Amino acid sequence: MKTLYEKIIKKWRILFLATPLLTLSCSEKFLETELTGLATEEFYYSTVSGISELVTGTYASLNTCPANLHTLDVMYVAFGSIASDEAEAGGEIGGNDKVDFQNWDKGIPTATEQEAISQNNWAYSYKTIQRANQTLAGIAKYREDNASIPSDSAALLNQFEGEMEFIRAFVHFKLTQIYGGVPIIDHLLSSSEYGITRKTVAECLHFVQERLEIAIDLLPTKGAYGPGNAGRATSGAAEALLAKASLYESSYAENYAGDERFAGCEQKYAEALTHAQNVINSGEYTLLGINGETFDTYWNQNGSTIYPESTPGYRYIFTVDGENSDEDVFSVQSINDGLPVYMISRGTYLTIYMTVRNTSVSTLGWGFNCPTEDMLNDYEPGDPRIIVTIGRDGDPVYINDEWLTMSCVQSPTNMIGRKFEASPEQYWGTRGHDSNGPNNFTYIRYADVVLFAAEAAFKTGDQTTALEYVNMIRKRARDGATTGVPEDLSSISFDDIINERHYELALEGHRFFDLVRWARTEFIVGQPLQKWLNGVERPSPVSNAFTVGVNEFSPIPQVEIINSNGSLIQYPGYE
Amino acid sequence: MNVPRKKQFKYLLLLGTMLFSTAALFAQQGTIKGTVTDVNGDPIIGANVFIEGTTQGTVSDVNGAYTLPNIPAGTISLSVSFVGYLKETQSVPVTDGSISESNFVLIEDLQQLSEVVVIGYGTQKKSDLTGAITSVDAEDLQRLPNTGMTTLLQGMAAGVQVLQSSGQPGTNPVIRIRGLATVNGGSPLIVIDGISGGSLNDLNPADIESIEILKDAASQSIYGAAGGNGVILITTKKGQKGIRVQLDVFAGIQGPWKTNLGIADAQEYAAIYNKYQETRGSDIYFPNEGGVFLNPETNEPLTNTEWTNEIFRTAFVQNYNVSLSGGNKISTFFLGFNYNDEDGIVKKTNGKQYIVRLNSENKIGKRVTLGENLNLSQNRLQQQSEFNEYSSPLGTSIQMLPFIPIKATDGSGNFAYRDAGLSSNVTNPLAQIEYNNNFSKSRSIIGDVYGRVEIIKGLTFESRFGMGYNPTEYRQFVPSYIIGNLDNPSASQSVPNNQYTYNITMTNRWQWQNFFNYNFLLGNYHNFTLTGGMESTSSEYEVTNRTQAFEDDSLIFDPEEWEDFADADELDLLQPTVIRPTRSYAYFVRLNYDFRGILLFQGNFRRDYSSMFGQNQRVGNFPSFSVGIKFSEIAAVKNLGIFDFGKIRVGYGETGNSDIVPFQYLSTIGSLSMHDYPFSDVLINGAALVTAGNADLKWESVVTKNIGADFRFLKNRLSFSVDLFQRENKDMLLRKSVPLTVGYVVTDAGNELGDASRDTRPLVNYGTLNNKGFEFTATFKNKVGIFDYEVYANFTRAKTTIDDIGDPLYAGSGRGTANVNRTVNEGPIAAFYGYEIDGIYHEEDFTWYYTNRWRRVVEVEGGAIEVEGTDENGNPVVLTTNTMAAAPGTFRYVDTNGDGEITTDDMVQIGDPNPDFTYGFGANFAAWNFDLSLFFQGSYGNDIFNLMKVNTYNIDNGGLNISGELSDAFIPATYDAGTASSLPQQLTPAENTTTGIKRMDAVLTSSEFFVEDGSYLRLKNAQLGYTLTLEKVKIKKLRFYLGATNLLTFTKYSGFDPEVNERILGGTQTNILEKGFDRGTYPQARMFIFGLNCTF
Repeated sequence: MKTLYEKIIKKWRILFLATPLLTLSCSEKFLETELTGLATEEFYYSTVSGISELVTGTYASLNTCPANLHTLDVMYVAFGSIASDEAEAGGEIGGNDKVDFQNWDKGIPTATEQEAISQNNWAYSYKTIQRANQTLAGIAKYREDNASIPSDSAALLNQFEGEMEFIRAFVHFKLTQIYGGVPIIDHLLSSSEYGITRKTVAECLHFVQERLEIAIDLLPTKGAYGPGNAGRATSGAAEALLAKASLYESSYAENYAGDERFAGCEQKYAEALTHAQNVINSGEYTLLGINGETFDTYWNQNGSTIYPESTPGYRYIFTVDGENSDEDVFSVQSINDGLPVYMISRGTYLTIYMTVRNTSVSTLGWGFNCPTEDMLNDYEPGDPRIIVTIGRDGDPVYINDEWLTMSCVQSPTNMIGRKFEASPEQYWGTRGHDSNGPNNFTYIRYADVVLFAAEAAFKTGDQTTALEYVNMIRKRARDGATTGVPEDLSSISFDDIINERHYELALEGHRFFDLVRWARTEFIVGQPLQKWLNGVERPSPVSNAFTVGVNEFSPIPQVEIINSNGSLIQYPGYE
Repeated sequence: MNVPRKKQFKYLLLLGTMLFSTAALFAQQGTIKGTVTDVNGDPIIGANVFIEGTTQGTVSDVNGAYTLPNIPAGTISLSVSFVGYLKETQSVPVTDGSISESNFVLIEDLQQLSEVVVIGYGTQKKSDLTGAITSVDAEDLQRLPNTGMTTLLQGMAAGVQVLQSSGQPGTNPVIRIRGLATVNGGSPLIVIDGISGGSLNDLNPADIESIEILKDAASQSIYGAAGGNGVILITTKKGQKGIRVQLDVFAGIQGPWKTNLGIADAQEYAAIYNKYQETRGSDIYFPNEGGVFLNPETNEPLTNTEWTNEIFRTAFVQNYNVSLSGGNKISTFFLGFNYNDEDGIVKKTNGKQYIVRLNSENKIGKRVTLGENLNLSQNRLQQQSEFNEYSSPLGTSIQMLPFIPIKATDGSGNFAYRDAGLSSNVTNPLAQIEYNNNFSKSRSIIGDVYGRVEIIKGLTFESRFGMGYNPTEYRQFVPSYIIGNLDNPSASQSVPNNQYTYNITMTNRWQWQNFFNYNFLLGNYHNFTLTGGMESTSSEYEVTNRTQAFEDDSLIFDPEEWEDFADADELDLLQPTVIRPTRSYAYFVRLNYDFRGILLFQGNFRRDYSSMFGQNQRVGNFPSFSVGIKFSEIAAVKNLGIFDFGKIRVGYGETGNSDIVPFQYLSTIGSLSMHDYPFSDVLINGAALVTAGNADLKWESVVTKNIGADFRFLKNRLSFSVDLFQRENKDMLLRKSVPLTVGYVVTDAGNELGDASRDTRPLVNYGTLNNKGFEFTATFKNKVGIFDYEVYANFTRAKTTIDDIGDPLYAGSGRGTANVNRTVNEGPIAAFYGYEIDGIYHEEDFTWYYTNRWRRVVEVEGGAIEVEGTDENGNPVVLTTNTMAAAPGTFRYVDTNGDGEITTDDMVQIGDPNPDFTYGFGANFAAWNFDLSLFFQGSYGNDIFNLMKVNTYNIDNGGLNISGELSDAFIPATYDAGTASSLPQQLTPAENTTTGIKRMDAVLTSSEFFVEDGSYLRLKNAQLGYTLTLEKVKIKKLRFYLGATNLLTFTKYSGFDPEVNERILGGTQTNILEKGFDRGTYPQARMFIFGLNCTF
């Protein structure tokens, strides 16, 4: 007979056998755990304010400073101005300062020579694109997760979407200017998509145009933004960039017929004209000083006169106070935040790079981007834009809250560019670090848009309109006066348009790209270079070694060719 | 007869067989009789006496006597065996009708042949093991003073490296089993009484019964993804029959073993500094009166403070341990209590630990066992900053100028500030100690309940549920203070507000296991043990950081009341509390098989499911197998008479490494200051990707191969084990370069080293690493008369080589150096990188040339390096563009790549912090009532980068102290300006002593010069004891002892201590990529104790 105990045990056996079977049924649901307290994508995607922070973070990428101190604006000036005939590298005497800048001066360097500058440009550009893509993914997720969105939030989301579309298009456009066809990244990539290939110039420009059309519809006008929003992309900025992209495509199509690199580009001058004129006719923008306003007119709000009363309004655009003025279409914002941390500060190195190097004032700038003799000579004598653009020995410069006399002896050309020197702000007294430069970098200025319109009109055969726009620029240049230099043109040729861009936009990082799209690189080929180059004093001037058919675009950074495992291929001449 | 029931049955069977076999006897027969005794002449009862090659035999009776009748005539081989004794065989001649006598004296088997070891979800006979498992038993541990579980394991077992990076109470050494299997660090899995994931630091060594260390995948893979870094199985003590009270107490003192690091004293410093000033044409700094240097401010003779001595003290240690245990046939229990109070050898460092352990086990009927374990601990620490040459008193004591007094000279009672004239940037180490109130308190509750049922004979089912709760609080209080003279603001430093910081981390976990063990015999020879079951685990890790500055400086911080100082909730929350919950479950199965106890096989398979990774990668399979052959059991080998025991083992297995931060498959977004942007010149908060997630992330997979052998010779007196192993990690988690176009990463061109804070790259399973080595253990035990002795040694060589990690990994940046530790392809982990040195430059190595100013150049292979010159005014300048500053008296760095320049590209591997081998050896002696044990431990072939030297070998180092050796150094020359047509003239001849090691003021960076041999040998422990037997007063054992820890250290290393090792990041986290980089190490203490062990 079985004892009670044995009976229990018998039951227990079954129980014990059953227990692990029960636990065996442990499902994958058991593994669903949630991370709290650390911000994941989901966290930021779940609120409009989270998305707003992602938008801001995307803009922040535009004024990033890499470890080699070349902020994106500094690099853009190197690509657009130093590489052209209008400026030399400069820097420390002996021409050995920032070797990549010197290399850029010689002509488009090889992939290895340009490594630092070009690699950073590529990396930070695509990082900006990644952020824009991430934010756009967040906006889409928010809309997906929220069936009904209050109208003010919906409007804000539309604006954010437009801003991100603009920034993504803008960065792709800049990359196309520099490298030609580049990879188009329009979504967050998964690891299976790393085999990136480059698209054609036409594909890139079409992508840019297509996205900007969307951005124009989504974005408010400059005037429609409330206070505190200066620096955000506007519908005007998107339309201006669309005009520029259309114009570039048209120039490439016109001037590089049969060149494989530009296959698929079409002449769209009429479209370019329409978009540029939409901006002009919007009434949102003004050429500062076109009605005779002087520097003082705009600046006097501070209650003291720094420049002589006669200083043109044109000067005002290039001061810190003149930032985000009515002439500003889109610029990257910087402030002197006093942070003595070069990679963190929200200032720019532009100021210290582009300001005169002067032994008598030890804290002055590094003296890069020095205008050439040719640049000076190209101006009509007496053009008021000269003194705003070019500094020479003995010119007054406002530094450390006082006027000093400029000495350009350390410049290879004995001249210095003045458009980024930041006075009359007291930057030189308050900066905590070289990274604290307060200058915004204006990528699209209204004068630029007016000249797009002039060029597009000329190409569509409308010489009257072209002349009108060029004369608008010339009028402002002579401070709105009816007479004086530069005089109004009575008739117009394409060279007049080329020259007006040269005078008006000098040293702002446009010249090289313009000459390339016009196929007018004869200005660059053989251009004599500064006497000191790469630390060696040249017995006789060296010429810029621009090779037509190759150097229109920069090679893709070598490191990226390696990283891509062969999916990215250099253009002919760079393999 | 005291023979287990099972054995009785066997004997009955045996007897039965014998009876049966007698039916077929031949006519000629004799009888053998005799006795079986041990070496003391005491009878051995129940010994198995049998004739080799037959089934004929008997057992000895209560007097140890036996009789074997009816033995066929001839010479037979008669054997006697008994559990715990060595088998003995004799040849016995048997003649018809007579009685032969044959007496056996059995020798105790010191190797405990039947010893059982824990192997994870079960046990196995040690002699049947096929994996590489090392056992450390309680006896070995208890010869050492109780200074924490981890420390005790140092040098104890082959393949087990215990790396101490600090002697500070409460900083726990890290354990590496057979070197490193991943660049992500990784500590072994700790399994306490079956429940995994515990911490050794919560345990009292006196409560430990045994420790098993699973070293190869064949034994580890039953723990699957968690086993890749080795597994340490801890079995705690259980009660035994009867009541037993154990009391262990010791107290003693400890201090640093070396405080003189050869840095200058005040007079030496003044002499060298004045000489430097004079030579370069400056005014001397220290006035000299009759050969005595005076303080320039007070004109009093310089006082001397030996800072490297001042920070230390002679400290008191005490430890009390009481345990009560007992039991009867049904129940056993164990209750232990430990209190340890250790003052650290650096002032204001202390550790206090309380541990209570309780367990019991109860049998319900014959088949059911129920039990539980409970371990409570509290650990309170007061610590000083370490691993920082600026904020740690250990670092600053080396750098602080010797003529600065401890207290300011103005009588204010403030600590003295740095010297204003020399503008030194180093803080008074004693002020750092005074104002740094750094406390932590961690508590833990770990417990489990279990039940075991024997369902049928040989089949048991066990269920075990464990929980752990471990909150740790860190509190730091820095009061408002003023350092320096009140009347001189430029020579003082003040902090106006009290600063209070509070962090808490919490770990919460549970684990539930259910498994079977089934042991059965198929036929007579096929022995199987099957184990199978499942386990589920949940754990949660929580971190909260709070801080606040109080303006009210009347708040006085009382260390004794620190817990009540401020309600943490009132402090400002720095960031949201982060909680990382993880869950996992697994199925596992194991088969052990042996054939006649000669051929052995074990196979394991575990399938892990874990929430550590994304949806696609939550499952991992971890198989392993091992085979062994006990060749000593093969008749042919046995007849050789060489091996008392011999076994060869071969194993292969796959494990994982899951010692990583969970949730790395998700992208994280952060709001850092660099993400802000100034719209309308006002900064607006921004956010952006911080780390990209990778949904395909999975466990690192580690494949291990092991071949080993165990031998015993000389009647088991000498035992020897050797293992060869190879481990390969095939999917090491790394951040690897992805195309820049993806936008995740910025490999900054201007900065070859990148910037970690901008590294948004996702982790990928990319790296491969291999780890090879061998290890052996040897023990010799013997007894000569009354003299009992044992000598033992172990040796480990484990060499880890990176196969491919893509981009290099950097660490080891400090004052004057950057990225000294580099982990690169085909190199070891954390190798030192820097310049090789080929002597020093001399004046005649240079020629002058004029461009727009005078420059001095030196010819090197392949080109000229422009090194130093004068500016337009004749002032010497050092040109740094792409060249290393060089001048007469500086190191001649080797242009290793031959490009004619000395650039960072010329840095090569100049040292390796990983040892060639580590070892431990010792001896135990006992005679009369005395016992003596000595234990040595050492490391050979590892280098140390002495960062402190980089600063102290340059007089122009910003007012830091210097090495006394600089009195022999070069003095730089000065020059006039020269003109375009005439050379600069040397104004003061450079002193060029042939013994000079270098130019006195050369800026130094990482080079061979700072790499030192870090090999050492330590007499880790020495103990002399005397045992009294006092049975009349019911004390079973009373032993007094004197002990010393780190009594002797043999090393060439010039710093505080040769045990530098990995940088501790806080808690149990270390940075394995920064190894052997000495920023001023908290040295291991030398301790002397007196103690007693008492058993009732």
